[in-house]
Amino acid sequence: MVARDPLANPEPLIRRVYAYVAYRIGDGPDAEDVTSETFERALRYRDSYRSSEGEPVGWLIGIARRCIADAVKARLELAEPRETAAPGDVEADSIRRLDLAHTMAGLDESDRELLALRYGADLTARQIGELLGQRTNAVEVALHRALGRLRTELEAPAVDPAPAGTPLPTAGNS
Amino acid sequence: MSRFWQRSERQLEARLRAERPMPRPELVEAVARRVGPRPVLSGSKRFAFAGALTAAMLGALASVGGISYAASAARSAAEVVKKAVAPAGQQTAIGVFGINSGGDQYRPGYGFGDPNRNHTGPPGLERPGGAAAPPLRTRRAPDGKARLVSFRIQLDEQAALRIHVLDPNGRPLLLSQRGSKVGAGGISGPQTKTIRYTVRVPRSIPITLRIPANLLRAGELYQVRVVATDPSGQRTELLIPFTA
Repeated sequence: MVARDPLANPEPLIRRVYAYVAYRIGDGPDAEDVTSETFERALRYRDSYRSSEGEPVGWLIGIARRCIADAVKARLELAEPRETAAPGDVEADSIRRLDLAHTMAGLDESDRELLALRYGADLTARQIGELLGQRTNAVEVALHRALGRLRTELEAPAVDPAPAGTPLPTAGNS
Repeated sequence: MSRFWQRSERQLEARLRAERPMPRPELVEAVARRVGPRPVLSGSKRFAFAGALTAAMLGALASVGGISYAASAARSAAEVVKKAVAPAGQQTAIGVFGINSGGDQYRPGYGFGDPNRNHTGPPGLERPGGAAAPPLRTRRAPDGKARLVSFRIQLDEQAALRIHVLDPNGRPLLLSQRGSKVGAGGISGPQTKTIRYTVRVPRSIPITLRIPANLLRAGELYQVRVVATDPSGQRTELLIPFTA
């Protein structure tokens, strides 16, 4: 009997893994790095996948979780300064404050994980429960609470980025 | 009130899905290409792509239709095998020469030159943002004796990297390996005009170069030159401008 290939038709899987990773650690080069590493490891363990253990996306997300943990650990060890964007203007910063991804980054790690699994990787509550070793009901309750906290953060008033009268640096003035 | 919160929650769920981060098409293409089709099965036997395969086996491989892969996947598989078996006439002996500065740690299945980790054609080497990315700026090293320049490159197959920094006249500058980083860790060695690194795992790679401060003039435009050579000897060069 031919074992199912978990990496057949990889494009949708790549998008779901990337969305999950980006919701966890932010959109950009780090998420690309972790996504690439996830599939490198998946390639290595391709033949060990068993359909009885669940859908390929759940298997891949399990790998991605470990890659994220490794990447975070490496980042802490290196304390490498990240490339930052040039300072923006007040309006752009205010808009960014309301940006969903930015708000997600401010959530508790466990909330971010749940929301990333549900709305990034598109896993069902049952699949999330299998991945995290929790009951489906518990996952649904936790998701509901995480959404509530996210909504609270999104609806919170934005804080002025600088006191009145302080000129903001613009590109080229440094 | 309960219906209000339910509607509010559904709206937030819709927003989370609609604003889901999307990967760049280049990343999807690079990863999908790297994943490729699973090594083809023939009956109960499994083909191994590493090692020499005869022309007769290449034909058998292409004719296997019992696996649910598109014909194009079989053609790609044949091309990969062809690359492995046909010694390239112009192939340069690459080996693993590039580890005098650093390199990815060896892992089973990631030997340099493994055809499963490489493709035909020169290495895909690019910087996020591509040609439209703004020039980098250096920053002061903690000890004040050097400037650091950091960036990322995206590599889609195994390659030996050679990294230089060129002055405005195109001359390579001396670099400090200690304090420079390629990938997850630092590199070692004396000062050099060429930093070498062997990439066994194609991916996005962070790089930081340490340049003695006395070699740079403020406001001048310099370039990082990255040359990637794959196991078959094909090369790609990337130039990244920066200002001191």
